[in-house]
Amino acid sequence: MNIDCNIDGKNYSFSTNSDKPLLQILIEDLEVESMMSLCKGAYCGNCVVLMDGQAVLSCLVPAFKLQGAVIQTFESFKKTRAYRDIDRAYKEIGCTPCRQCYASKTLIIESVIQTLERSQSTLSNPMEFNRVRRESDMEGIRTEEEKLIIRELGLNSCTCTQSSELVKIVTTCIDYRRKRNVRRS
Amino acid sequence: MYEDLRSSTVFSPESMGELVNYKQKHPQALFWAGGTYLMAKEVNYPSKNPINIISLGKMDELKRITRNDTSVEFGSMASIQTVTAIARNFFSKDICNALNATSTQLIRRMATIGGALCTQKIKTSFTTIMMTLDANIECRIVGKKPLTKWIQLDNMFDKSGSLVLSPSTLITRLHINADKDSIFYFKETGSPMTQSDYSVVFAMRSRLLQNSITETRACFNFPSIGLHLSEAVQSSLTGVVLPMNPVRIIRLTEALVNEIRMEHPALRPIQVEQASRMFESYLYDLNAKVIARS
Repeated sequence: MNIDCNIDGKNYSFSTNSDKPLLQILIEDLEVESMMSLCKGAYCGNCVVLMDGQAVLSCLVPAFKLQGAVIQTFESFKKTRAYRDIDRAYKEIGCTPCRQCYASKTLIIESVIQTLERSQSTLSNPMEFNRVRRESDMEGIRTEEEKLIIRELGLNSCTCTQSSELVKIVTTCIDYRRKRNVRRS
Repeated sequence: MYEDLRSSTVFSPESMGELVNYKQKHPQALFWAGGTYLMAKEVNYPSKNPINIISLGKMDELKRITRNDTSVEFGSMASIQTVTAIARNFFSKDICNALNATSTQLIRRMATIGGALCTQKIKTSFTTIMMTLDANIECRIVGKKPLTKWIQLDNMFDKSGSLVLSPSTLITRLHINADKDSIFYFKETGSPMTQSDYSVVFAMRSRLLQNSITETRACFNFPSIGLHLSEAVQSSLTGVVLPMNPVRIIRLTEALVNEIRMEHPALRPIQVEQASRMFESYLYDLNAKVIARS
């Protein structure tokens, strides 16, 4: 089957088996270094890529779904400003995912941030977020946003980072972006 | 390694007529919706005998959503994420939370209603929730004599909880009535996709009239074994006045455990134990809600 698609900004036209997973195309045909196959479709969450701007597990995407798609792997994502925000948040919180899950967790974090920004959650309003957070801390429960962050990042089965740290990374990163948008406007 | 491999042929119909044609010419071809289950469990690339695929991704008529004040109808190719996004207009917060708890957003965006309901070897959390909400589905038998009919979701499964639809049957629509008043409980242990032999999913919906239960529907899902819709428990709970005596809760739970053991002898003891704890916990939760109200 002939496939035309865009991977990391380059247009590709290749012939491949129609049911070959995107993960294997990236590893075997394009030799993308950040991709790894650990589970063969058992949802280990280590093969995340952005497909048309949305995070997907590349082991679940067959080749025939790639026709006309725009794929961004971690290799090209790490050249973006969005990545630098996340990397800065890792350093500020003092917690970086291990080498094995770094690429995937970073892309899932980006996907979660986009969702939270789109939904105009309390996270985009720091005063409101701090108020909700104080209340929930007092009651010892998590906010809806925190639950979402933990659930989404739970897709990656690697346990190198604690859920509370991941929540801090996402909130810190959203804060950077909000401040930058305020400065711009 | 891949030298003598044959590539699967992929058909991408854009209308129901085309789909019927393809299915009649290639009766063994597999319907492909989102692919989250098929890629993980069924399609093992590389394979020497690949299956032909009928991809439903271009069929716009299967993505349509129609809604009015009292109900909503989803095309079977709508993603689970779409259902979750629209749910807050039709369902109570508990039901929305349950839908949100079905896997992560990343998977929900890929998974479709039809795919989630039709997985052959396991039952998904989404199916459990829809069974509890008493959903109906429109089925189209894609054969020499095409036939369309609406059936209750319960009738998709036999008594042991296995799927009874034939491979040539296509789910085209899902119809759910709005429900903003009932109390909904959802609990899942383990992932139905990755730990299907151990996982238990439980969903239960009850309506309360003052302090008594007027209507109840409980569904247990043991992903690799089947679904269990407990008629006996449902009838014995109807009319019960809350708060319930703890002794009665224990008796009801025991009755449920016996029923589950009888109907699903292959269940692991841990699954039976978890099912009974979930049920018990729901009843105590109902008690707490009624006590908090008064």
